[in-house]
Formats: sequence, structure tokens, C-alpha cells
Amino acid sequence: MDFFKRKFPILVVFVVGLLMIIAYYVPHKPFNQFEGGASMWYMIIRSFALVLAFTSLIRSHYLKIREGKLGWGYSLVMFLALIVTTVFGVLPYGKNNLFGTRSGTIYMWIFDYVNTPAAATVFSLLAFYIASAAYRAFRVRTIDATIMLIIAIIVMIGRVPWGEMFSEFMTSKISHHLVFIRLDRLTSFLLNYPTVAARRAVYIGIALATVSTSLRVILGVERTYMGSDE
Amino acid sequence: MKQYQHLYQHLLCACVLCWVFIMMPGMGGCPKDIEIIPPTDFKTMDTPSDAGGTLLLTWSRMPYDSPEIKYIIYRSESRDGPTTEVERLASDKNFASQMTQYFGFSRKNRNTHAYKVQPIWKMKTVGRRGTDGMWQESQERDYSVMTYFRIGVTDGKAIVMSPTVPSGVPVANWFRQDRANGLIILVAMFLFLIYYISMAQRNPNMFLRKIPGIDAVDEAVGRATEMGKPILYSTGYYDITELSTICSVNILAHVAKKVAQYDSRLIVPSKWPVAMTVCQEVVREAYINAGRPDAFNPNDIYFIAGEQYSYTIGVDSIMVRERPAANFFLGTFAAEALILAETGASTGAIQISGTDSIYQIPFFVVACDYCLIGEELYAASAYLARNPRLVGSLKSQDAGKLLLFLAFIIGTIMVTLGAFYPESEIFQVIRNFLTVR
Repeated sequence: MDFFKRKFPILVVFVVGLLMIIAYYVPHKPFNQFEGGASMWYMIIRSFALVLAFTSLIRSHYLKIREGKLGWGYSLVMFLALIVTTVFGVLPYGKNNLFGTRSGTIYMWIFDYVNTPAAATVFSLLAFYIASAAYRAFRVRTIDATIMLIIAIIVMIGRVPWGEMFSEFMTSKISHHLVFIRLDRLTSFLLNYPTVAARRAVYIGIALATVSTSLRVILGVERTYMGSDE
Repeated sequence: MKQYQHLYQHLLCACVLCWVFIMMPGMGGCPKDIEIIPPTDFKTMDTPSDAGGTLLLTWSRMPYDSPEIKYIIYRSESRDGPTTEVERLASDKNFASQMTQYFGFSRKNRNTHAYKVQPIWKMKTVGRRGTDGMWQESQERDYSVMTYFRIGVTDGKAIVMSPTVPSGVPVANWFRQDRANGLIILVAMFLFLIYYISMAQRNPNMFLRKIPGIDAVDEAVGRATEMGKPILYSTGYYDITELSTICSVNILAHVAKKVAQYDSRLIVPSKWPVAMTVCQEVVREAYINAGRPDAFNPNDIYFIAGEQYSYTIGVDSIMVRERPAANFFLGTFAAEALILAETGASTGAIQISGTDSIYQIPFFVVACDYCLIGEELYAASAYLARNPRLVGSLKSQDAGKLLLFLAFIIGTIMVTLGAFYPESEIFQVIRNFLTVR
């Protein structure tokens, strides 16, 4: 029993991981078909897991209603939406254009005029959250925050037409020696060199960590995902 | 004297016009006086390092090459069979020197045209797909047949065909030569891993750089226990197929064990069915390992929605209604990162985040108390476990960094020298080897 619970999964991970590494370097059959095959296996497993997820969704909302938890009314809305979309989406397409998932059906109407605007609304919240996050980040408390504030001001002004016009005015009308404060060029420099350098450092770290973690998992050194690090 | 002045002016104009007429064809790149003859040395070759999907066509650079002159590639199933036009190419472009991954850096490549071409494929029906009663057959490539190629050249008026009709069938190769550099890194990392694991087993107290975000896990779980409030854990936007989600699940195992020991409550809302199932199993195992299997509640690890913003709002609603004392956002996140983190911050929860999505890191840094940046997310599980094998594997990562650092120095020198000595092949070859594909 311990073999199937502990050793067999590690063996499966090792064999599949090794095959996927080989497939990355060998474009010949049958190795080049592994990736597609693995994706198909994943889709099959996911289809089965979808039943579990559906059960979980029903159970969690049912418990909320039964226990009268805060916001239980929204769970009722969820059940209503689930029933309506399932009925209109799954029932076979007829001449009346009511059922099915084609354009013009009730299912697509719900998707276009309820789901999409709701998602867009949530996404729009981001603008306000960015403002509040920026306020918190740019409060001048430390030297680091001050540097970040100055850089942010340069980049923000440099990225709008007004910044370019201001820079143009300073260099052409006042003095050519003020070329060093051309905010548009300074912004390009900041975005193209220091930012890219920092970003690449993070990318390289992630790439190496990916290789290292993959090897840990494939070789069975990392077993925490099985609930044990022993 | 004035009449001679006019004569001089006329003579000067005539000379300038003559010079312009004589030199213009050469200046404009339009060799109108050069006869258009069929391209020579027209050949096919298999594309190296591929799965057998394409062929390479090569032919010599011709004296009339210019933007106005076009090469036309045709293909057919038989030597004398009907041909179909594949592509029209400007004759001053598409040189072998631009395809260094296939032809290397030889100087003669500048005098050879090259073009990657598809052979003729036989298709097969692989299934039928239907939506709302409308069925469509889906086809995919079965095998490629012997394909014959012809090349013609045209100045827009007439087409001159080459008599040569090369043919070929693509062959699948056994090794991706262009990825050899990656293989070397992989083998080196493997060797480093073995070496440092053996080192760590001999010396279990190897130094590890502190990760404040991970050290704060105890603090966060303890705070939630003291306040009698739950802990929220999100594994991110992607499914278990992403390595970052696997790493997040690994950290979840440690967090769940702590939660079980402190007798607190852990909520794991999930966006993916498979990730949800894995999380349930991992948390169950963690509770068993902590000796508290009775405290495990599978109803606290549940599926919310598969859609991005539905999931976001679902998690936000948990934070607003249940008021968790600690929020963990570990994994790959997209636009929802700031919405989640800001909502969590507004509820006053201690927040620990970690992501490898470079564009979300600043948001998490700003809105959370602790943030694991990039590779720290991958290292966190090993850091928490303090197992000699895992600690050794972290040290191997540092050795890999040193190796890459050396590659950067060599690459920088090669690029610099290559700019000074563009004719030298060796600098280009080393630079090409260090290029990631």
C-alpha cells in the first residue's frame, strides 16, 4: 500500500519528467508526440476533476444558504444563474434560437450582457486600486521611497505629451544646455536600461529556479506536494 | 564672353545628365542592362533540428538581384506535374547568412539565397466537431510526400524558369542542435544538485540567505490563531500544470501543517478543478502529519469559478465577509493581483504574497506586508522544510547562477569583439552558441 501511495507517484513523475525533457531535445517520433499526449491526458483528468469542482461549488453555496451565512442571498443568485445558463446552454439547438451557444441565443445574451460587463466592471476597479496603491508606495518615508517617487514623477511626466512639450520648450526656448532634463529621453532611458536590467535579473533567477525545482520534483527530492517532505 | 558662358552652362548640364543616366542603374539598384538568366545551384536540403516539417531551398546570388526582381518558388507532386506557386521573394533578401541557425557563419552564405518551405502534405481526418447540430470534420497532417520544386525569376514582364527541378522529403531529426546550450545548463545543474545534496548531508547547517516573507509564516498563522480568525490561501491564476502553482501547493503543505498545529482555520478558494483536488489532498495529508486529521474540513477548500474576475470577486467577498487575519497569495497572478491585495489590505489582514509574474511584483510589494520575488517563491518550500536534500538543491541554484554569470561575461566579450572583427567566424559561433532559442 505504501508503494502505491509514496513510491509509485514518484516513479510516475520521474518517468514522465524524463520523457518530457527528452521530448524537448528530440524532435523525432515518438518523442515529439509526448507533449500533445500529455496535454490530452491533462484534459481528460481535468474533465473528471470538473465533476468534483461542480460538486464542491454546489456544496459550498448550499451550506451558506442552509447556515444563513452573511451574503447567503448571493448563493441563491448563483443557483439561479447556474440553472438558467445550464438549461439554455445545454438543451439542443432548435429553430426558435433559444437554446444552444450560438450567437443570438439566450445563453450568449447572458454572456454578452451580464457576464462581460460584470467582468469589465471588476477590471475597471483596478484603476482606483492603482491610485490607492500608488499613494501608499510614494509616501516619502525612506530614501528608497523618495528615489522611487522621483523616478515615478519623471516617468509619468515623460510618458505624456505634455512632458515632451515641456522638454522641447526648455531646450529650444531657454537653453540647449538643459538637454539633460529632456524628460521624454530620460524616461526612455529609465525604461530601457535600469528597468530592463532589473527585470532580466528576476527572469534569470526564475529560469534557474524553474530548472532547479523541476529537477527536484523529477528526481523525487521534493515530495511536499504529496503531503510529506520526508 | 557671355555667349561662351551659356555654352559652358549647357555643356555642364549635358555632362551632369549623362553622368546621371550612366550611373543611375547602379545607384538605384536596378541593373536594367544585366540579362536575366535562370538562377543557378538551385537545391533542396532537409531543415536541421526539426521534426521533419520543412525543407530548405538554396540557390546562388545572381548579378541582377535587386528589389524589382523577384524569385518565384513553385512546387509539385511530380517532376513534370502541374505546379503551384508557393511564394514570391524579393531578390535582394532571403540569404543563408540570415539563417545562421541552419547555415552557420561562413562568408559564402552571403552569396547564397535560402528559403524555408513546406512540402506537400497528405491530410487525414481526425474527428468531427459539432456545435448546436452543425458538424465539421477536423483534419491534420498525415505525412509529407516527395515534393518537386521549381524556381523562376521575373522582372515583372516575363518569367525565366530554372531547368533544375530538385526534390525532397523532410526528415525528422534526432537532436535539436540549437538547444544544445540549454542541455549543457541542465546537465550542469543536475551535477551541481548531486554535489550540493551530498555536501548538505555532510553539513546540514549550510548557510541560507534569509527570506523574510517565509520567516513571517509563523507570525501570520499565530496572529490569526490569537484573533480567532481564519487564514486565506490562494494558489494563483493558473492550474497545477504551472510550476509556480506546484511550488505554491508545496508551501501550502507547510502552512496547513502550521495551521493544524495552531488549531486555526484555513480557507483555500480555487479557480481550477485539478488544483482544488490537489490542494484538498495536500491539506488533508498536512493535517494527518500534524496529528490532527479530525480538524481537517474539506468544505474549506472549494471551487469558486473558472473565470478570472468571477474568481477575483469570489476571493474578495471571502476577505470582506470572513475577515481572515492572514492572506497568502502565492503563485502566478495576472490583473487580479492588485484587486486581491488591496482588498486584503483594506481588511487589515497580514499579507504574504509571492509571484513570478514580473508585472505583478510591484503591486504585491506595495499592497502586501511581505513579498517573495520571483525565484524566492520556488525556493520557499525548500527553505521551510530545512531538509538537507532540499537545502542542497537551493545551493545548486546559486552555483547555476555563477555559471550563467560566466556565460554573460564570455557572451559580452564575444559580442564586443564580434563588432570589431565582423569577418571573424569564431566570435559569431560562440555568440550563437550562447544565444537562447
